Amino acid sequence: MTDKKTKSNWYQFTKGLIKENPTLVTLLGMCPTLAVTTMAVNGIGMGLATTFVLVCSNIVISLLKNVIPKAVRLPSFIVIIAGFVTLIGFILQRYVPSLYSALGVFLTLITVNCIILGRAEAFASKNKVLPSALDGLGMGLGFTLSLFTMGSVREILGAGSWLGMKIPGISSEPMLIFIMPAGGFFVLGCIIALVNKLANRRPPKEISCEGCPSASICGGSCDTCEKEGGGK
Amino acid sequence: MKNSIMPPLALTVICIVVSGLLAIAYNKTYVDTTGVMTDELKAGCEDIFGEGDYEILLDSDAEEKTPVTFDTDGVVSVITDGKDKCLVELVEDGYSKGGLHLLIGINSEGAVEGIYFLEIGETPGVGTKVQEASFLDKLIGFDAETDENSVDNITSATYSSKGMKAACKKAVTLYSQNKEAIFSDR
Amino acid sequence: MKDLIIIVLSAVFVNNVVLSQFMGICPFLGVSKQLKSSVGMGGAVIFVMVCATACTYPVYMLLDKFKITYLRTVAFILVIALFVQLVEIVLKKVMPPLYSALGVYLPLITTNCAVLGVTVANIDNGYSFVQSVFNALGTGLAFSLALILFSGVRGRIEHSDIPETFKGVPSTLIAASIVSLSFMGFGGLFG
Repeated sequence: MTDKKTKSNWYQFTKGLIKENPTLVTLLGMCPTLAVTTMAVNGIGMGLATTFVLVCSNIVISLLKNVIPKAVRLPSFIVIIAGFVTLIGFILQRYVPSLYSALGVFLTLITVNCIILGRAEAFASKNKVLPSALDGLGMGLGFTLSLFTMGSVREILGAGSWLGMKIPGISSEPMLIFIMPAGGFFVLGCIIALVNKLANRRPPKEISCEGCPSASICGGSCDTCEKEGGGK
Repeated sequence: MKNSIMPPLALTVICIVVSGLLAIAYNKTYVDTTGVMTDELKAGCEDIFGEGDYEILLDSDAEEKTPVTFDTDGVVSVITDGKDKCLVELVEDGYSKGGLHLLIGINSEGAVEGIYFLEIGETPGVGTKVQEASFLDKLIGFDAETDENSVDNITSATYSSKGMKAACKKAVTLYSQNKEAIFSDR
Repeated sequence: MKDLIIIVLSAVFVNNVVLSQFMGICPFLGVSKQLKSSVGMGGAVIFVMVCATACTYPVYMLLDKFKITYLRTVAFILVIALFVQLVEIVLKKVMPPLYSALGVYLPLITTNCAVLGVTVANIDNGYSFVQSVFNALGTGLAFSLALILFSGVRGRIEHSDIPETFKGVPSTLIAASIVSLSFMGFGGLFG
């Protein structure tokens, strides 16, 4: 349709870090962001595992983009992603078992992480291998960054430590609520509000729909997206 | 016709390729540790009792090397040094199913000597508090007669604490019921 | 029978899939704006979860027989994706009005963490087939409950005076944290 200017590879890599950070800007991948960020180190581990799956699946899907028939596009992507998730599961179970038990079921749930399917559908299936790989890497590292931030805040306030090191002053009386689910929601809300403020952005449109891979199936954008999310 | 055959065929091919690659990866990375004294287990034994000649009790009648469990649910293996030290490796439910994978050392009086965590899948920062010395110290000396309710649970880590106590109870009961069998084998 | 009821009730209140286990957040935040869409999504999710469990449980038994249980992630998600696609096709042909009410949510359900999550949880918890189906039913009800409750909450937020930075997603998340807090009160119920 429109003549897309070929963006440089460097741009593909850096856009995922801040400008189009999957969790804080396009609001995808909420589930692991809330669930595994009770400790900063778990956040990093999850982020890196997701990055691995993201990069590998982007590369494979980009390589096969002309081979996979349109009708079975989504199931094929999902199977490829599930394959890499199982693979990283094997690797973690063998070499980093502590992270494997800390992530628990959410390692398997990387398969349905909106970010991975979203990038496969929106980018990797339409672009060459190298930009796809860099896009995956950037998005993954941006995701890791936001997980690390969330994890750090929750761990410092909720457990009085950071990356395992006890922090004097807070470690004797931490605010347990931040480790609980309620605290997770709260911290994420505040971080997103902060990001909005720093970017001087209008309140974002309805969540997730835009970046959701099913958006094209819904027919462009879900009609719930038309209504402004809270703005007057 | 071709249009309706190609898509499912392509999907099937992709599935088969992915499964095949995973089967190869699985065989390369999977290590069967049943009945084998891993470094982790050894470190646990030495952490509780110090250096020694530890071996897993194996069922001599079975074909493959199966650890003896005395038919107790959750017990993975029983380790002994042949003289007077015994350790029980078990998996107990805390807040999460199978969240506590422990090595419990039992001394010659039938009481808990020490506890080593092989794996802990409890809520980080909350359930993982059962690893703290302040709680573990209360469990040392736990024997078959100790009432579980005499040890307080950690606040906000009720299920994890209950799991720990249940595990200790299981270990000491197994020891007192099978003391002769454990030390006669060698 | 009693343990089945306990499974359902604890899935709905004590370990609510959205508010305590953090699964299914994306649709939870995206679809709960209006009561109508919440009910629609909730109904679709219950249906998909129960049927997906019914399909994936025997598949796992089959994998177990051949000792290839490590393929379960691939197998389960494939079953779920194909099942959803099948339901869509059938609904479109057989019941067009139902399709226009629910159909738009079906593709979103494939990537719903809660669906894959409940199928995996059934295996990890060692449930029998009947217990798994009831667990899936309970989880679906839990998801619908959270969604419907939240649509009411969001309806009220819409008309409140909120600082500019917090409008939209942040206020939604903070509201979710308070709802999640209230559900913590159910902890310890049903043993």
